[in-house]
Amino acid sequence: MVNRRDFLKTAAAVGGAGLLGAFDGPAAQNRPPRKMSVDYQTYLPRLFDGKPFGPKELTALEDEAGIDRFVVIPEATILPDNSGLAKRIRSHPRMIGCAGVNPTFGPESVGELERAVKVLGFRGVRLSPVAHGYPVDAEIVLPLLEKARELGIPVTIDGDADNCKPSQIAAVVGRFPEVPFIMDTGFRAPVRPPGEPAGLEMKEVMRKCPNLYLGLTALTTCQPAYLMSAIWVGGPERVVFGSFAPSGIPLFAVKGIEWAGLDPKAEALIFGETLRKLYKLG
Amino acid sequence: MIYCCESYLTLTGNPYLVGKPGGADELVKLFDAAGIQAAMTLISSADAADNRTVKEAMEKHPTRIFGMCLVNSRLGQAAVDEFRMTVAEWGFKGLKHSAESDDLVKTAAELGVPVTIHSGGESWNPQTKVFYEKIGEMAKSYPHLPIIMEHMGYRYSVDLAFEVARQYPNLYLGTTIPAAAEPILVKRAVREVGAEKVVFGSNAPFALADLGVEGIRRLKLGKEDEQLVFGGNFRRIYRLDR
Repeated sequence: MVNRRDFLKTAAAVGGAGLLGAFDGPAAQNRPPRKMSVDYQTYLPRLFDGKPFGPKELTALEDEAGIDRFVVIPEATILPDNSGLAKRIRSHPRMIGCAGVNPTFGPESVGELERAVKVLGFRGVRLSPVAHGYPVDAEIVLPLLEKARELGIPVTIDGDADNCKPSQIAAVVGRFPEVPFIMDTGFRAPVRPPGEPAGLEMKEVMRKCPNLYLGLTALTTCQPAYLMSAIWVGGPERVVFGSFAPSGIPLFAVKGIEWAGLDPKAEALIFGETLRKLYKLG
Repeated sequence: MIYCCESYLTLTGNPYLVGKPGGADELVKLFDAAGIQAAMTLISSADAADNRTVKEAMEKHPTRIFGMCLVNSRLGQAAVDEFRMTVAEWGFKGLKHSAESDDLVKTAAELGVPVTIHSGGESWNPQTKVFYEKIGEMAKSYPHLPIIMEHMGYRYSVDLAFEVARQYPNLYLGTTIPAAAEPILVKRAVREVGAEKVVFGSNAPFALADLGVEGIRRLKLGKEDEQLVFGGNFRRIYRLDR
């Protein structure tokens, strides 16, 4: 059993002394206004909850949460519709396009990534090993990652799923140290409170791969233990805000983080500072 | 009035509390903040606690904390005996079960005590399908026993959970976690399985109960369906109006 003191001590040691405030302390009440905040994972389905859904609706969700910029990813169909997404977000500068590519299509997928970045103006790439059915460390992925390196864009990936286990993620992330990778920590639990084997494994992966970041979703942030464990595993400078909107509610994701009462510096890192650097936002 | 089909009585130091204090009073404070009248409550396996801990909490907060018995089914008859005792002598109202021991389910059916089963898993894993089939068999074998599938299969097996819940009138879906994380799935449950089979759950204190409540409210299910999810179904399943 890990007691509170041990947990706080460990978390502070990993996250940087002074970055984690007392959980029940006054940090939340004295929170300064956030600088530009960024959501690393949102979607723009044409229909949601049985009604038409578009940029206006997604923006309203992010406005409610006080989020300034948001990365929008096409749905992980066999061939993600990057062109369609680009058209829909073109006149919405707060939205950052992220290309969806499927490496099982071979060299075509590399060309599509280049087109999405150079022609459509996208700033990142999403790999979906679970939906597209390939191991994240497979040979077919490497040309895409070489292209991501050349283009200087971050890569987001599933986390702790079949085809995307921490050891596989470590293998591929380690081969591309110049490429930032953001791994979902939302729908699986690669992080656990201190002492649990799954958490220890992920902690070791994070130690080995300084270019790996943990992406939150409303699922992580509505469960304080998972949020704090992500911070324990990666440190606040390597944990980034995400909502999975519109299925996840950005305001809920924000509230979950605020509930933890982190030190303002830690909050600032999670809400935007790190993502602004990764996506090269002004 | 809001009732919750799953919450945990924790001890201070439980790693999943991340430094917050545990105990019955703290749990009730969370209920108050979320507007929850009462919740089925069990111990956390991360604590050195037993059903007696819940009994003491029930004595302290008899209108807020309803006991849900947790026993180790591998203990065989001893587990059955303890379960019987918690119901008969301590007034527990539910059993948390793992779909393993038929003796415990049989006893729950005999006592008229609803059973709660954790449901999740990955739909593409063959074992997950077997698990949901087992739940279906249990529901079929004990047609008068209400069974709540906690988490309603979230996140990768909601379709399996919906499918089995549709087949058996005594199977219910607990909204624990998806209500806060992806409320839209609760709406899908209401549409596809029926509001009369969806039961609000918070997972407090491990999940933020107020977000779960707000998640359901945002769905705008309509007054009647919302009342069923928040309390009507719970009152019927746990026979509060008797």
